[in-house]
Amino acid sequence: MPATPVTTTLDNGLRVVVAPDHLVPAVAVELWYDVGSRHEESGRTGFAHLFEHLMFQGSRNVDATGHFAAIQSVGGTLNGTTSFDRTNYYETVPTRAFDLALWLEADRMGTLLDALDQANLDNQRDVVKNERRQRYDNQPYGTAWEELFVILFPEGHPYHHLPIGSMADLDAADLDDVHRFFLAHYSPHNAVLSIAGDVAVDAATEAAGRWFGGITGNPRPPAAPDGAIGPRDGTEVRHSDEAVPAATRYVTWRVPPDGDPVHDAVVVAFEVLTGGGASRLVRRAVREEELAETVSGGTFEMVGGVDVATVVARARSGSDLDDLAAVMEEEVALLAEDEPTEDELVRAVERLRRDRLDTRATLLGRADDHARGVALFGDATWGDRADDRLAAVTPAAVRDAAATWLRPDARAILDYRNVA
Amino acid sequence: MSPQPPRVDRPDVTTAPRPDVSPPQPWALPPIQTQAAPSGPTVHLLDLPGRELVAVAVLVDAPVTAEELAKAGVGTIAARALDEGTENHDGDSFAAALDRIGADWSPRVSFGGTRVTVTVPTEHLEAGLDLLREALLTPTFPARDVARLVGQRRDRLAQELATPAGKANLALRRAAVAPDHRASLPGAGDDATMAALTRDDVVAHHRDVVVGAPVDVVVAGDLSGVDVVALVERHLGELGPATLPPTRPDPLRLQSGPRIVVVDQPGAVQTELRVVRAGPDTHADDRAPTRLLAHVLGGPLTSRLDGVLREERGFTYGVRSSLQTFRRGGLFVLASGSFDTPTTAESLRIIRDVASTLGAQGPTDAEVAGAADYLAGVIPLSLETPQALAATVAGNLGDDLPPGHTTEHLARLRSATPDEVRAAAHDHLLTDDVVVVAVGDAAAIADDLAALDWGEVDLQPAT
Repeated sequence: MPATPVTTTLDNGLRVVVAPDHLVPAVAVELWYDVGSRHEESGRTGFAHLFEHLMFQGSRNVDATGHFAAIQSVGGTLNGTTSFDRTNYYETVPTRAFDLALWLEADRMGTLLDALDQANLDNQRDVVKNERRQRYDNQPYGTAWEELFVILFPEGHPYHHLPIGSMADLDAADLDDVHRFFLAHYSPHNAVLSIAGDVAVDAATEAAGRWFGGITGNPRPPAAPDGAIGPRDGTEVRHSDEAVPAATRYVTWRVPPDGDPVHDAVVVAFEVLTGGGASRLVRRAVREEELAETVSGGTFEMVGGVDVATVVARARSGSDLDDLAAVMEEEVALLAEDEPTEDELVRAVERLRRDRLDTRATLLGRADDHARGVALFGDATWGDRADDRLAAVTPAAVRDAAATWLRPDARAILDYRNVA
Repeated sequence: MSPQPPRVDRPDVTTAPRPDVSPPQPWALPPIQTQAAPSGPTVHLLDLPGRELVAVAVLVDAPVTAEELAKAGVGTIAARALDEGTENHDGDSFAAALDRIGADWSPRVSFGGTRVTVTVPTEHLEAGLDLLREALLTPTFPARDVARLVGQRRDRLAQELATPAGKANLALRRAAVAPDHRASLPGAGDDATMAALTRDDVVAHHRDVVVGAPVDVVVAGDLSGVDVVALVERHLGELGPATLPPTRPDPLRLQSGPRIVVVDQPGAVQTELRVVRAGPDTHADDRAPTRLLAHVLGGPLTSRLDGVLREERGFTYGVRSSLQTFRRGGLFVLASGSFDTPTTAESLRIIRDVASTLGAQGPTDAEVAGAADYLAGVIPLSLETPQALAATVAGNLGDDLPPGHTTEHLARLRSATPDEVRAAAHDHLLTDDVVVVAVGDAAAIADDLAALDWGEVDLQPAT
C-alpha cells in the first residue's frame, strides 16, 4: 500500500499534495487547473484546449518548444490534456530533474503571456484544427459524442459541447480572448500541484514554495455555471448518415455526478451490465446471441452537477441493429427491476478495485488521482477510499439507481445504420 | 511580421533562474533470476518489493512465422480461444473466475511467439497460475466460440480498415514486404485468411505448434516469501519439457522502391502518410545508433520533422519516426502521420528533404546527446509496472535476446558516438529505396504526389 499523500496550501493559494514513493528513482509532477470546457462561454468553445497547446509555446524564461525540449533532455515524459472539468499538465522525470519540472511549470503559470504572440496563436490554432480533423472528422464514429452531448444537454448547459470545440469558434479566437482566459483561470489558487515519487514530503513541499511562491494570484475566477440537471424528460433518437463499417448504437443517460453516492451505485450497475466477458450484456449480446462485436459502457466521471452514463454496442456484420437495440433495452430494464446477485456485486467491486490498482501502479496515475481528489473533492485520498464507498453500495441501491436514472424514457440515442 | 500582443504585465510575478540538473545515474533492469523448473519451462523472476500487482507472462515459442500464409491469424484465434472453454469452465464462467480475482487476461501472438499474460493482485498469484494452467493445458476450443472469435476478428478488421491509420498500416505491409513473407499480412490475419479458417485448423495449430514448444515463464511482482519456481512447477509443470525444436526465424524481406501507393479515400480531409525503408533488427550493431537517429528525425515535437511540419507550418498534429522489428530484420518508418489534404504533397516533399539533409549532414553532436538523454530516460520510466517489465523481458526472449538485454541496449544508446549516428544517417537516409503509402483523397493529392517524381504512383481504388 503506497504512502498516504500529504496536502498543504501555500500563501498564494496553491494547494500542494505530496506522496512519497521510492520504488523507482523518478517523480511525477502534475498541475491540475480547475478549468475545462464547462467553463467556456458560448461562441468561445475549444478555448481551454487551445490554451493547453499554447502552454507549450514558451514563457518568460522558456523558448517555444523549450518546455518539451527541457523535459526530453533529461529523459522525462510530459503532456497536457483537456477535459470537460479540468486541464492538466504533467511530467514524469528522473528524480534529479524534479526541480526543473517545478521550475518549468512555475514559469508558465506565472509568465506565459510574456511569450504569447499572434504567430504562435495562429500556428497552434492550425495544429488544433488538424488534431480535430485527425481525431474527430476523419474517423468513423469520430463525432458521435459531439452529436450526443448536443442532444443530451440543452443549449447553454456547460456540457452541451466537447473540449475540442468548433472550427468556427477556434477561428474566432484572438489574442485578447486568450489573454483574458489566462488571467481568469491560470493562477495559483485555481490549481493543484501534485507530486508523487522519489521525494520526501517536507523537501518537496519546500521546493514547491521555492518555485511557485513568487506567483501571486489573480482574482478568483467565477465558479463554473451550475450544471445540476435531472434525467432527460423523453428519449430522443438521432440517426447519423455517416457511412460506417458496422451499425452501431450509442445510448446515453444523465446520471448524478461523481461524488454522489448514487453515482457509485450507477458505476456498479454498469459493471454488472458491461464489465468484462461475464457481464450481462456482453454475455448475452456478444457471446450468446452473437448480435454484437463489442459492447462497452460506463460513466464519464464528470462532476459539474451531472455525469453521463453510456452503453455503446456495435453490431456484428449480418445482425440487425434493431435486435441488438432490443436486447440492450431489456437488459437495462432488468437492472431496474431486480437486484443484482451477490456474486455479480462481488465481481463488479473486484474489477473496480483492480482498475484502482492499475491507476496506482504508476507515479503519474497516483499524482493525477491525488490532484483530482484535492481539486474536486478537497481530499487527496478520495480515489484511494473508493473501496469503502463501493463496499457501501447495496444490491437495492443498484436497482434503485437504475430505476431512477437509467429509464427508457430518459435517453439520448445516436444510431449509425448507413453501413458502407 | 505578426502584430505584437498587448503587453500584459504581471509585475507581481517573480521568476527564478533555471535550476541545474545533475548527470544521470546508470540504469539497469531489476535483477532477473533465471532457472529451469524441474519439468521443463524456464522461469525468469523479477522481485519488485512493494508492488501491488503481479504479472505472469507465459511465452511459448509459437510465433506467427509458424503459420502458413493461407492460415495467417490461426495462432491468434487459438490463443484467444484458450479461455473460451476448459476442462472446468465454459467461457462465461472462466471470465467470471478471472473477475473474482481481479485478473487481467491478455493473449498475444507476434513474431516473438505466443504469449499469454495474466496480471493479478499479489494475493491471487496462485489462483492466476491455476487459470493459466487450465487454459494452456485443457482448452476445448468449442466450435461455436471459435467461429464467433473468427467473426469478431473479421468485423474488427473492417473497423480498423475504416480508419485512415488502419488502412495505411495494412497497405504498408502489402506494399513494402515481400508477398510471400508472413509480415506482409497482419499478425491476426486478414479477411481472406479468416474466412477460410476452420476449428480443425485452430485445434491442429494448438496441438502441433503450441503444445511441446519451448516455454518461458516470466513472473514480475512482489515475490517476497513465495517460492515462485515451486509454484510454477506445481501449476505449469505439466507443460513439460519441449518436444519441438526452437523455431527458425524467417528474416524480413522487402520490396524495392521508390514507390508511392495512394489508397483512395474520396473526400478525406486529411491524408495518412507512411514513409518506410529497411531498418535494423534487434541484433544489429547499428540498432542503437539508428534508434537515436529516428528520435532526431521524428521524435516528439522537438524533432526535425515536427519542428517544420507541426511547429513551423501547422500541417499536422504530429509526425513520428520509429523502428519496427520482426525478430530478424526490421523496418525504419521514416515518417508516420496525418496531414491536412491540401498540404499533402508539400508535406511529403518536406519529409524527403528533411530526411535527405539529415542523411547528408548527419545530426549534430547536441542532437545525438539529446536523443540519448531522452531515450535513456524514458525507457526506464516506461518500465514502472510489473506488466511492463514482464512484457519487456518476454519481448527480449521472443527476439532471441538475453532476458535482461534492455540494460545493455540502454547502455549502448548512451555510449553511441555522434559519428556512429551520422554513419547510420548516411546508411539509412540517403537512399531512394523507400515505399510511401498515402491514404487520402486521390483526386486532390495523386497528381501532386506524382509531380514529386519519387517513383511510380500506384493508385488503389477506395474499398
